[in-house]
Amino acid sequence: MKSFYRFQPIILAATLAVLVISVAISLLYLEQETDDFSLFTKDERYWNSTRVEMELLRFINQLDTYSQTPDEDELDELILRMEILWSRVDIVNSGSTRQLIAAVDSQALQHAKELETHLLAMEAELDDLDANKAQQYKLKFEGYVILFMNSSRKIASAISDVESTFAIKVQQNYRFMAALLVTVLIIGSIFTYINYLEIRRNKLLAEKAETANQAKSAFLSNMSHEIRTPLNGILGSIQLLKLEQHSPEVDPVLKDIEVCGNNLLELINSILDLSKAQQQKIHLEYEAFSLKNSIRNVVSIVNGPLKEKNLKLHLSIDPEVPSAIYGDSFRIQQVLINLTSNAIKFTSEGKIDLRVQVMEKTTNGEITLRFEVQDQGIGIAPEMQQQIFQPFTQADASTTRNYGGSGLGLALCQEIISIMDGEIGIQSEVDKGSTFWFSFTTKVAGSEHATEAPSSTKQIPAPKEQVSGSKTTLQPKEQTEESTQSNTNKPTQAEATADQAIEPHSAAAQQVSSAIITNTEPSRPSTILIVEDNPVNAKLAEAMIKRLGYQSELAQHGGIALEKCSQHSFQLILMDCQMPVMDGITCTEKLRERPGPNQNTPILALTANVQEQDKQLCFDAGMQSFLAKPVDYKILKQEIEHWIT
Amino acid sequence: MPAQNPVISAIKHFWLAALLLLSLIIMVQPSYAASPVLTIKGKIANGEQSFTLKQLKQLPSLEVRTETIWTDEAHTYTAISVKQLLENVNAQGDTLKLIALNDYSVEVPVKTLIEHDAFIAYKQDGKRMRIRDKGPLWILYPFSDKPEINTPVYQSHSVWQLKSIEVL
Repeated sequence: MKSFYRFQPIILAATLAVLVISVAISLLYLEQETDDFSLFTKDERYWNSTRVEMELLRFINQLDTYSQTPDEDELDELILRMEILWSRVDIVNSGSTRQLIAAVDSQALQHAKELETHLLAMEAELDDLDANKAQQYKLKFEGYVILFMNSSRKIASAISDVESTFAIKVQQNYRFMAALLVTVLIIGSIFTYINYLEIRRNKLLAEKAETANQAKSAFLSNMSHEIRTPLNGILGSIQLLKLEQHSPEVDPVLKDIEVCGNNLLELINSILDLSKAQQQKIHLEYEAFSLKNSIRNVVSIVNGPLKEKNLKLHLSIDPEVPSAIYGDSFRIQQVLINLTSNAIKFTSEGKIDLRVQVMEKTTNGEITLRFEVQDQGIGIAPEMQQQIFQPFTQADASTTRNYGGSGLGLALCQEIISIMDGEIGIQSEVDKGSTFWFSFTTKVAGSEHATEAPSSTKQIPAPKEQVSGSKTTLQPKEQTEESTQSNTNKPTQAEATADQAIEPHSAAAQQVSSAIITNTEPSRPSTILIVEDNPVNAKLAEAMIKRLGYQSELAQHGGIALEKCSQHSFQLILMDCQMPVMDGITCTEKLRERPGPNQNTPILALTANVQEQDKQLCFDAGMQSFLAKPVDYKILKQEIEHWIT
Repeated sequence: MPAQNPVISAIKHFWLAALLLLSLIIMVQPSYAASPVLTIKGKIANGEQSFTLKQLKQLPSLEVRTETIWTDEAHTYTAISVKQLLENVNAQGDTLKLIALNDYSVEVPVKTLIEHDAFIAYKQDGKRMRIRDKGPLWILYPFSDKPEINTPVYQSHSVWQLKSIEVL
């Protein structure tokens, strides 16, 4: 039965072909029949074949007249009759009429021949034709009247026979063809109906798949929220712990917990990103940005692991690379960080090359860039090179054990590059290393359009960078100075500058972070309202705010927050989104719409709902900024300082 | 008045008789040789006009080679075009009634005959056509040149042993 379904279209098509061919053959047959039929009906063959009889009678009649009055006039008339009869005999004996008679009554042709012989004989005797002789000829010719009469009758009945048979044949032929056409119609309808069923089945399957997919994304978004909330507690608590006085032995343990927590967060972020990318929900920005700054950000982010493994990173940027291009700098950085981190992960000693080349530059401002990340690591076997871009795949099952990783990074990179209409690929040799590359085409921006690479909280409410807070925290602030240096031309020079740039960066970053930890903020008498239902997170937020030197009040849900807001004026409100009784969105809307002491107080969303649409909801409700949980101490500090001046 | 010399009288009678006979011969002979083969009647200049074969031959002639369904092979016909003939007699009608020696007749629109270059043949392969050869006159179309009109309708216009034409 299964094979029948598989061959069904072929069988149907073959049947239709056979039927159509039958119709064609049937038509050809009909044409043949028509040809045969026309032998009897075309032109005036029948009429001609019967005229001999008539003219014979007229001739005999004149012979009789002449035998009674054998004068010149009657002789002339007799000669005329004879000539006309002769012409009639000649008609029967030649051309198309002969064809017909030969087919139906060949004896008639014999009679015509005989008649011609007699006419010849009589012509020879015309000069001395007397009444007696005329009588004799009359008797001779009379014998042929009956013969030609019979012949006429034979031909007539043959023609009517052919006509009736032909009519029946034509009728049968038409019926046969009608039946064939109806069959063609039925089979065609069946064909169409089966196709229709198939299409409907596919549509249902597609709908089911779509529903399942939506369920999956809903599940992912829920899980992400559910995991982020406790993770927020864990990471925040660690940051608080680090601020407290503690014995030095605990330090490495705290660091381990923090690293694990951050890894977990990164994993959740990757899963969310990949899921969005696969649903085509990633919306790419299209803004002018400095590519060199972005690369510097990448370098600073991978600097830590680089140092740990004692590897060198060589940066070489094509001097042709323009100072600013259009695109989504965050996503390009994400891909570069993924590829570079991978390179670091799989290289135990040696160096890593990061190259940016201009492949093509058109006069209308389009540019094709190629990025390469080359390592001297373990390499990837050719048969695995295609698979590694699949989600949850690593080149070797054992590498998961040796090197860790979820196997999501490359899949995400591929999705992002494909959304950019670019290409991504790999060249690799086992034990010699791998080169991952990607390329895409974009437009060159005038350098005055170039915005800062998104690395700080300045761009609120440009929401994206807030999502993966753990990455942006590492980004140093003082980039603008070096960017001018790396704009100098030769690639070698750029490489050197980049190398140099790495060192002070990491040092500065460490300094910054240690400064934050040791610095006890001066007390500032500003009051911040925390709206948070989760007690751990609430406590954490309170502790952070206290540490920053502000006072805080807590509301467990939106209702309480509204009440508090009607009584006191706050300088800033930190708003969770999902809460019992009244959620953060509703609370914000209510605050904004009615006059009160806090109608214009800045509101910061502080939530584990990190999807694009969640963010949009917050801004639509009237919030000013958006922080994803788990909250980073430094980001919170920057935000609070930004809004309370 | 002296009586007439019987010899002279006999000679006179002889001459008279000879003259009479001669005039008879002269009168009868041409009329036999030039008996009309075609009569045209109806809407023409003189009401009726007859042509002898000789008179027809004096009109501009043309030669057409064609096959017909009544002959076994193609022949070359010497003929006068129907158009030419109708112009010659200044015919005004729209239809011609073609009548044969055996009184067969058919009516054909003038337009059709002229459009398809109908002609009246009087020689087949350079020879005079006897009545038994469908002569002396045979209306034909150039069927070989125009196979599309080799159909029963046009074939029925091809009157042989044409005797007279009535312009209607």
